[in-house]
Amino acid sequence: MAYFRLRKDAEKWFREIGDAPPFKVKWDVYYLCLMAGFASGRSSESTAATDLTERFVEEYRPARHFIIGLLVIAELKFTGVNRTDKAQVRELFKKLVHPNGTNDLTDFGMRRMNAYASGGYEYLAENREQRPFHVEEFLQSYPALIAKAIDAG
Amino acid sequence: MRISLLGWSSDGMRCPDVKVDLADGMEPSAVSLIQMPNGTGKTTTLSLLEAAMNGSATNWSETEVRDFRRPGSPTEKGVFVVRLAVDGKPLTFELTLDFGRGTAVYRTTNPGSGGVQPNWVPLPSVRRFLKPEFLNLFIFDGEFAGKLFDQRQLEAEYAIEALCQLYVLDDVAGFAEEAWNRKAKQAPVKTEAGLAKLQESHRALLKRKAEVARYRENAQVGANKLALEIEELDRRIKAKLSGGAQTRERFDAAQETLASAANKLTRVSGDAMQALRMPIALHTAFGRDLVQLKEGLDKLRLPENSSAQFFQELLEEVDCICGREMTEGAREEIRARSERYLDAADAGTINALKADIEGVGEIEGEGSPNAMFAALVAELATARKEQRLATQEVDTLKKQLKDAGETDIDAWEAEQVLAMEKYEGCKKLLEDIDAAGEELDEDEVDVETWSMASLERQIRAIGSRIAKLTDTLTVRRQTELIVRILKRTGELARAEIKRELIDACNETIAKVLVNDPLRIAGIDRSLRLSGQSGASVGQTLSVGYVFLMTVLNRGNNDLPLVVDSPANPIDAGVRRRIGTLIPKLTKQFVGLTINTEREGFVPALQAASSDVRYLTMFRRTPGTLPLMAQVPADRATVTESSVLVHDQAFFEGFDIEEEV
Repeated sequence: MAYFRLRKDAEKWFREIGDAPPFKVKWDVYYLCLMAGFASGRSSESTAATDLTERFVEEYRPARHFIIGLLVIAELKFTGVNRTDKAQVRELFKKLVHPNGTNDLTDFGMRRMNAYASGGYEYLAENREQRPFHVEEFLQSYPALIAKAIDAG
Repeated sequence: MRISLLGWSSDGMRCPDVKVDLADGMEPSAVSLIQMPNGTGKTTTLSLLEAAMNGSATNWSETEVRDFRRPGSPTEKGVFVVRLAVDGKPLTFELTLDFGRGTAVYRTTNPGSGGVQPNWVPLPSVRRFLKPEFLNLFIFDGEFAGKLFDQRQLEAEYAIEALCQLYVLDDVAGFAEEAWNRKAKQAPVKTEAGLAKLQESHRALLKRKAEVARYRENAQVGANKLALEIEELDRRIKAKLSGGAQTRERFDAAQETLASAANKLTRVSGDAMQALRMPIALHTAFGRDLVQLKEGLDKLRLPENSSAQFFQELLEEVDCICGREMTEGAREEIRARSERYLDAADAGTINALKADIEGVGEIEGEGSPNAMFAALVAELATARKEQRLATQEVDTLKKQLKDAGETDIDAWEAEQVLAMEKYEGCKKLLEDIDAAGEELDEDEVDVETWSMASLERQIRAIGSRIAKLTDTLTVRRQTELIVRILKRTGELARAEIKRELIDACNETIAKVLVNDPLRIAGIDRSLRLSGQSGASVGQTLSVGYVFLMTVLNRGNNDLPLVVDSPANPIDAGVRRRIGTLIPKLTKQFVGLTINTEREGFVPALQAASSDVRYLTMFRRTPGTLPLMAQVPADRATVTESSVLVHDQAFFEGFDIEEEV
């Protein structure tokens, strides 16, 4: 079974803020990295990571379809699929999405999801002078980093 | 009695090493001006002058002694020598401070009484003028003049008592008592019975009376000083507590603000994080992309209305849905094409995705999730700023509270309690001394009593009994009459002297403070001004000068007037008039000045006196090195730490504004 996986170095990078409110679950860190990956279009797959959960945790269940949709969008961009080609688009969906009662992702889809989380961490680490020490400061600066990545894309 | 200050020398003390001569031989200059820039040790010099002359340094604490050590100096001892002339005869006090031990020792050189002696031992006749209360009258700084107006101080009263020699009346009364005692002892005795015992009691009572009188004086002075000390400590404690209380209130309020800011920050960051968990709130691009994805899927008709399962089930049918027979070839084609379709579950996910996107509503604009998230981030920034400011305020106030140091307050309170106990002791003693005392039987004697009235009654009663026994009743009555006359004389003299002094002072004040209606209305313990309870520093100093100089001039004792910054707080016009008066009112004036005081004051002194000594002293530092070129070598004394120049031209041209 495929798991959402968080890079160990990302976990370490967030250690000053990741375990205290307003962070509730480890998935928060994963999500922040994932969004940075989607925004920057960066993905990487070859790093040691920690299994988090198979499912979207409670806090992210309302957003799960958006997250999957963003994965599809990222992969559409990444693979260069013609968005007007129904067969290609359907094929991509089939590669990524599969209702399985847990996370609605294929194994490949999960691998790519984790790859974007990994790439997103790399983007964050590269674009901040130092790792976050104060959660409020990070929450304030994070949207700007996301905007920067989107603008660059 | 004439006391002159001939000079002093200092070695190893906080002030520069220097030897100052104010006289050639035993006759000092009428006016000596010692120009000492700020930082040259005027205050230290004045303190050491007083300490050397009044013998008080042996009561100093170790800290007080070490306060006179020159910073950074390895010297273990400091020596200050003051040279006086008493009625033309030399008297020298040498004060040695041992900084290591924190002790002070004196040596006294008095050629009239055996040369150099250990300890501070002036002749009894001089001692009276060297008491701290008295010394304050002729060695003072600008602050002293203010004390003359303080109702709690005895300075004005003491000045009259001492300088107008009213103490002589008490001496005469004592002499009369002694004379009768001698007479009674020599007289033929009618009966020996009990006489020796009565005489012994009489002597004991006289001794006790003198003792109680000393106690009374000391208790009165002590009570006044302690009252001031208590008041000063109270002022300090209240000031600190009030400052502390205000700081504490501000600190508490700042802590509340900080707590409130922290709560707000926690709430806002929680809200922001919660909003952030929705990707479309994080950036409008995510929302737009998702909408575009849905629209793209709609255009592509994905997911299709038919699912892969529909075609799988069709393969099981005999006929195709179009009515034709389901051949093997057709079945193969349908199976192959069915794989291009999404199965029902996949379609369900995509439909759920599309439904969620459709349900988002506004992606951009005021009510959009992104706008709300942006508002929370802005609120977060404000909350962070508020917390930072609140933290800074708390830190600042915390430091202030720490700096305020409650240890100071504790120490002052302890000092105050001690001073209160001593004050109460003094007051109790004064009450006991001033009490009527017990009425005793004729034969009863109480030499232990503190009641002055009782002692006087007993002395009179025993005196009468001795007089009867010795047949010297007439002499006894005459003695008592003399004592009564002297006491009354003292009272009348005080009143008369005060009246004359007020007139004389007001006459002089009118000349000195020409534009000022300030006048002395009365002299009680202190000077009382007409129609006003206080005066400016300049007025106080001017009136103080006039009063002291008038008293000095009126009495038969000539004493030097030594003043720190004699003209600093007064304006040029008053300086001129004071400067003109000083040489007329005192035989020796010593002023420790700074260059800015010269204007008005020095020319007036110069014009009024032909005997002005101009001394200029400055420290030897790299900063004063250029001055050395201007120093007339034959008029200067140079030590390792200072330069003293005895030259009028150098004095008048000397100009150091800054501390050296």
